[in-house]
Amino acid sequence: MSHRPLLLAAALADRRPLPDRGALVDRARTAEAAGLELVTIEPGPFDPLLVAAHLAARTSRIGIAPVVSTTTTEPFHVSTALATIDVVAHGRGGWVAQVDDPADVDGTVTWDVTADAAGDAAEHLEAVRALWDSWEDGAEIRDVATARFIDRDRVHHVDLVGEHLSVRGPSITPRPPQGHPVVLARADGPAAERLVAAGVDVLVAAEGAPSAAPRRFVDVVVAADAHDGLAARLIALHADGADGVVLHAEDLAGALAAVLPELERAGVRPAADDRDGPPPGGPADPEDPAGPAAPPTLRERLGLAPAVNRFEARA
Amino acid sequence: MTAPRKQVRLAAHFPGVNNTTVWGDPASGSHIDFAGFAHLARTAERAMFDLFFLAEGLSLREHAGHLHDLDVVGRPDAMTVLSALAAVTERIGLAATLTTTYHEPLEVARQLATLDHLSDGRAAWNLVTSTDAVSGANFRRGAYLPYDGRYDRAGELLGLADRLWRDGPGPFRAEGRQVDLHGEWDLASPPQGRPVILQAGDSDAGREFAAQRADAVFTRHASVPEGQAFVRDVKGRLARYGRRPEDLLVLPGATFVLGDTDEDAREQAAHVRRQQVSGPTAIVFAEQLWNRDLSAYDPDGPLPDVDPVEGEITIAPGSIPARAFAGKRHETVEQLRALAARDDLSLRDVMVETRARHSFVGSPETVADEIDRHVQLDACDGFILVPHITPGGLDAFADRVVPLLQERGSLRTAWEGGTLRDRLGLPRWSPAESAVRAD
Repeated sequence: MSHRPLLLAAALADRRPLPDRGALVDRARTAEAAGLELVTIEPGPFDPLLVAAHLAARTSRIGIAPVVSTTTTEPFHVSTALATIDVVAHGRGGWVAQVDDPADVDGTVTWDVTADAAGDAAEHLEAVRALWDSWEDGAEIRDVATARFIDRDRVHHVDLVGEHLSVRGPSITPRPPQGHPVVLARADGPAAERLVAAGVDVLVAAEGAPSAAPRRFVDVVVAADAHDGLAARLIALHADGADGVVLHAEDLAGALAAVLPELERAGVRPAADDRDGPPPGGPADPEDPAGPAAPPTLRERLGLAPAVNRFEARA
Repeated sequence: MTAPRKQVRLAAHFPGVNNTTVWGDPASGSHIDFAGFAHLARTAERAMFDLFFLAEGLSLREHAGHLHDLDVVGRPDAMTVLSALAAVTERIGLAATLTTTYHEPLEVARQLATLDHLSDGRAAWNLVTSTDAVSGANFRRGAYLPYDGRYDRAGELLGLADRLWRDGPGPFRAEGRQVDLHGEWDLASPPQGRPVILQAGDSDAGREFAAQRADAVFTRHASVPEGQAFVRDVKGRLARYGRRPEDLLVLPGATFVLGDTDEDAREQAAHVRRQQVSGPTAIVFAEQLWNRDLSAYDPDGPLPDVDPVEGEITIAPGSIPARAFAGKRHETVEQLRALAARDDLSLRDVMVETRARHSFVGSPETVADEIDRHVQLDACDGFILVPHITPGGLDAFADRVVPLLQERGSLRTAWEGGTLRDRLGLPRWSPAESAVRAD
């Protein structure tokens, strides 16, 4: 198999009922310093979207993807929050879409949750991306001569009418830096097929599941005393066709120290120093007049094609 | 020993999507980039403000069947921005406006508690209600909530949030008409016990809601006597809920223009006001009042000679100003005609005169005097200041007015410890819970 280097993500989960903010920041920076492509913010007591925004302001080059349910959320709110994270992170934003079992979320939202959670998820995902497209790049014109702030011909209603949900749009938030922040979906079985068909960028699946998604990641759980043999396992997954791995490591720094040199020796993943982008070291001053260093976007780091705006493509 | 001087409470409102914001000024920067939010929040923090404040709009404004394109359009998600700001500020409170109509109860409770934890006790919520159909079309349930039901949903949602914040992890059940939920809550109580709750809404129902449930009221700016009357009314309602007058802060929104002298400030204000009301904006303002198409009229000519149209709002549905004129369109138009005739004003002049007033115009001394006078005379407890430039519109206020307020002893010179709630002198628990604990 001669495919790309193995992509690496670190899953950030934290203790209940009170996560340790400092530990979340430390682990995100550990992952960044080790050259990982992204961190996922796992569901927990803290809202993952807000943790992602907080970490975006405390890091400078790693991708940040909160896990957010499609079943219990409004696509409009998810779309604007993810666009905002992408703005704060200068194009490092992502989303791990998760589909809940309707029985598990009974009584937690004030609308009737459909039994067809996968169908709802596909429509949700489509709505989120349509809202990202609803502002064309350059829609803000600030034309003093005509007193117009936007060119309203470049801001669109999305008018999605689905079986489970409808959204008129446009978004309140302009198109984010990546156009489309990276959409990962963690799903298995029929739900995974629906989401891949709906156009996710990355499917995060159980080991071995084949997929038509552009990228396939595998979740790997790593206990603190199980670093021996971890590298071999990752190398095997890579050989088996996985594009990337999401490490759910109890001791992230220890796990990375154990596996990164072996992955490099095996030619599966180069060392962090060989990779593109500015050196890690925490965030630049957000008000720095020189502007932030321009790290590659998360789409670029995952080798994904630039996002196409459906409204511009139509024109 | 004399009583300590009453402290001026200040909040910085990020410039909004209305004509107050002068986006055409060369100093005007991005309304989206995080750098602008960081600059304004840090300026307010340096100036010892209590709060940084973000508004909300869940649809783009529309006028005459099109997206309204004359004002700033577009904004990031408020709670997301504030969570990022929590990483680059240390003391200032972080307030988001969230409507109880189109946000989910558990999501609101979790997000505010999360922000409170991420910021070490600096989260605040400006609670608003809404029922507009344009925003409803962006959400799963559409415009599901009748106007009369908006405070039912708000009250039930806040009631559930208060219980979750107070009790922390464990099973919960709410059995309201609007909020009928149950499950297992998994997050520890926030550092403030309860994030600071502001309430915006001047209706009688809004005032009663504030008296019963809120920590602060966000209201309109008014003269000292009008402000005193408002304060008497709203604080007069507190006793029946077992609350003290100091348990509810009254914070009007206010604008300002500073100059080296009062005369210089007046000249600058005149310039700013004309920028805030361009010719096309003057036509839009007139259409909100007349409730009919006036696009054929010249903004630099006389007021339209046609009559306004009462009844269904056709040209600016969802517009708050258009709704505010309902029932008094003829009367208002007659007042404007009298003003135009008296001072020989064009349509645009009239709109500048009536729709672009600034709360405080003057030298730093004059503005500091006026702000402090309102507070010391109990016309309010402070102000939510809305600069007209992003993101530097607060810089001069921080540099020139704040030191004068500090010299008078009306504004802190160093940060007290504790949470936002502690710094505002507010009790730790929700009003209902506080009443129980006081027994």
